[in-house]
Amino acid sequence: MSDGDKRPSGAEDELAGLFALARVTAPEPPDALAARVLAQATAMQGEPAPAVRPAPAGWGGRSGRAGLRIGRWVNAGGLALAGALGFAAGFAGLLDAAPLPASLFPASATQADEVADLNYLTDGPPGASVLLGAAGDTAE
Amino acid sequence: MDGGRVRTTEASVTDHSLQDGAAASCGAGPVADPVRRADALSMERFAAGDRAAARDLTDRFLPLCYRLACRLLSVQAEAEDVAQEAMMRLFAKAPDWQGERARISTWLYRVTANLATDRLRARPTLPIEAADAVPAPGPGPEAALTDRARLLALQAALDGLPERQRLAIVLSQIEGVPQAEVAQVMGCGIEAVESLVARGKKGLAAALGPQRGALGFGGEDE
Repeated sequence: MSDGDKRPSGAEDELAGLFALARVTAPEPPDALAARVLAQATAMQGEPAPAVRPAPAGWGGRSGRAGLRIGRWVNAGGLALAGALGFAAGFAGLLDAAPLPASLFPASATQADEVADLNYLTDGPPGASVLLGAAGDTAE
Repeated sequence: MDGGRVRTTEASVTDHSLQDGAAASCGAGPVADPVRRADALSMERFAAGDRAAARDLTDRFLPLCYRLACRLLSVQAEAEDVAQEAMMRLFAKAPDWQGERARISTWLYRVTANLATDRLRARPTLPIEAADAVPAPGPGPEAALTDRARLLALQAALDGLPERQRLAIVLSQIEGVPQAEVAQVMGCGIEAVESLVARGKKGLAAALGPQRGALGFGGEDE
């Protein structure tokens, strides 16, 4: 066997020995790391679902159910009252409203189309001329 | 060496591909593997909120992540971070885990290797004194000293290898992972793994050669 054959096999054995040594002296994760990982794992799982707690028996249970019943009636009564008030307010508003000036309503659609010029805008409701400006004034 | 360096870009294979179908083509039988079935059951129990499953998964797989991270990074603090992150990713994957796709160990090796590779690429050159992830050997002062020196030399030589050669050597030669599984982890064929291991061994032998006498290996060769 030549030196060239001998050297690689020797190096191979030495490497195998080093690998074996590394295997048997494998680093172990520190306890603190394991505890950290486990804590995070359980945190990722979330809190365990709480057990369903039965309603307390006896006086507390009865009062609770009575409270619920009362609450339902209060809710229904509140809704009915609000509805009635809404109706009343609506009717009162209609009765008190002042009638709109008749000039705002043309006698017919054709009459509205026959308006000759834009001056009718200034003859409209009070304030309209102020808003639009008097066309004649600005022209002068 | 250069070939290995070029191949390092392949290390960025996504962590999900093993669970997204890539592994199905190169693994053992999809349903027959009892390890995968057990893994899937553990993940299912974890996802359902079983605390015992959380402890079981941590006990079984944290050492695996930590060992690989130590071998690849050489720095204990970084190895702890990487191992913890890998485990968190595993737990986050639990609700969607597909047992027929891959073993947990295979998936974790890949995730850990990718996280470690990211760390390696982001950090500047590692000073020798920073390497503290080599454990102290057993009792016996003289033997322990020699073993310690050998382990440090091996770790330094591993640090000098291209990433993929280092990963192939660590997984197949030190962790004892079967080459088929190493191929799955690395996303390549078994022949490619064999080639990486062979080149890695050559690189290690070249790096350790000058220290053979000091390490107690046949000093007459020098």
